[in-house]
Amino acid sequence: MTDAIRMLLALVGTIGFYLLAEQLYIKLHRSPLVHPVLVSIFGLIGMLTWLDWDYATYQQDTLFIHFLLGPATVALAIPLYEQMALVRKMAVPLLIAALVGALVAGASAALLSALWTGDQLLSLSLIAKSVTTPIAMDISAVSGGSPSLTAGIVLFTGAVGCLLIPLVLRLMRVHDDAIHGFVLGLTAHGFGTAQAFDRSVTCGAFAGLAMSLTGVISAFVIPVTPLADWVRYIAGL
Amino acid sequence: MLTHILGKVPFPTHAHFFTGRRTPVLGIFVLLLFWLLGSVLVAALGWPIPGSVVGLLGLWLALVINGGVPDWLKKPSGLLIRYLTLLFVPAGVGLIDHWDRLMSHGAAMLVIIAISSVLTAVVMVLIFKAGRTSS
Repeated sequence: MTDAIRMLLALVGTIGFYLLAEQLYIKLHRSPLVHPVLVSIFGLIGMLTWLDWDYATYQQDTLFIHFLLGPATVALAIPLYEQMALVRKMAVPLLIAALVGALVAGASAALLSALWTGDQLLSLSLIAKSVTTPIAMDISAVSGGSPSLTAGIVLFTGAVGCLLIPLVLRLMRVHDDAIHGFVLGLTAHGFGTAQAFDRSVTCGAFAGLAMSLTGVISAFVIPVTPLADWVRYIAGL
Repeated sequence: MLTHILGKVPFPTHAHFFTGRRTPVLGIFVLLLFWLLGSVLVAALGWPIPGSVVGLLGLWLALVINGGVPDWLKKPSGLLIRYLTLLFVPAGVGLIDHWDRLMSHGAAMLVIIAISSVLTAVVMVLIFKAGRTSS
C-alpha cells in the first residue's frame, strides 16, 4: 500500500465512520451515549487494532482534519459575539459565575483524581474536563497532561453531564431555562449545549454562552494557577 | 493589493466595511490570520495560553468593533463549528495509546467525572440563587 493510498484511506475512513455514526445517532433519538464522536472514536480504535495500524501513523495521516481545529477554535468567536449581544446587561454576573464554575469543575476533578488514582498524567488531563474539546486539548498540553486523554475525558464528561445535570437541576428546583442552560453548558460543553437546545432556544443560547466563556476563561486562568503543581505534588505522595 | 482584497469600501470610516461581495475563502484567511496573530503574541510574551484562544478573543474584539458578523466569515465558520466534533476524532482515537490506563483507572475516572460535574452544578445553582436574593 502506498503512502498516499494509506493517507486517503485514513481520511475517508474517519469521515465515513463519523457520517455513519451521525445517522445512527439520529436513528437512536440523539441519546448522548451514542454521540457520533464517541461511536466513531471507538469504532476507529477497533479498526486500527484490527488492521494493526499504529496510532502515530494514523495521526500523521489525519493531520489535515486535526489541523482544522485551529481555525474552528478561532471561529467560536462568532457564537460568543452573538450570545454576548443577548446578555449584555448580565455580562458581569455571568462572567463571575463562569469563572467560579470553571475553577470548581477543573480543580475538583483533578485533585480528586490525584488523591484517588495517584496517576499524574490522568489527573493533569482532567483539569480541562469541562472545557470544549479543541480548547481543552490545548490547555491539557500546556498543563502537562495528554491532549488525547483529555479529548476522551471531555467526551465522557459531556455524556455524564447530560445524564446527571438535569437530575441535579430538578432536585434543586431550578425552573429558569437561562440558569438551566448556563449550568449545562458550563459542565457539559457542546454535549450540554445540544441538549439545552432541545429544551428551548433560550436554554440553548445560555448553554452556548457558558461553553464559550468556560473555554476562554479556563485557557487564561488555569495555566496561571498553581493547580497543576498541586496535582503533581498530591499524585506524587 | 489591499484595496483588491477589501474592495472599494470607505475604509476605515464606515462601521460595516467588512460587508460586501466577498468569498468564504476570505473568511478562512481571516480565521487563520487570527490564529497566527494569537500564536505569535503568545510566543512573544511567553504566555502559557493557547494561541488559538487568544485568536478567538482577537476576532471577538474585531467583531465588537465592526458591529456585526459579515456573511463571508459566517459561512466557513458555521461549517467548521457544525462539524467541530468530527475535527477532534483523530485526537480522540489517541485514547488507544492510553488503553492500559483506561482499563486500570477508567471506572474511577467516570466516578470522579460524575462527582465533579454534580459538585460544579450545585455550586453554580447556589451562586445564581445567592445572586438573585441579594439583587
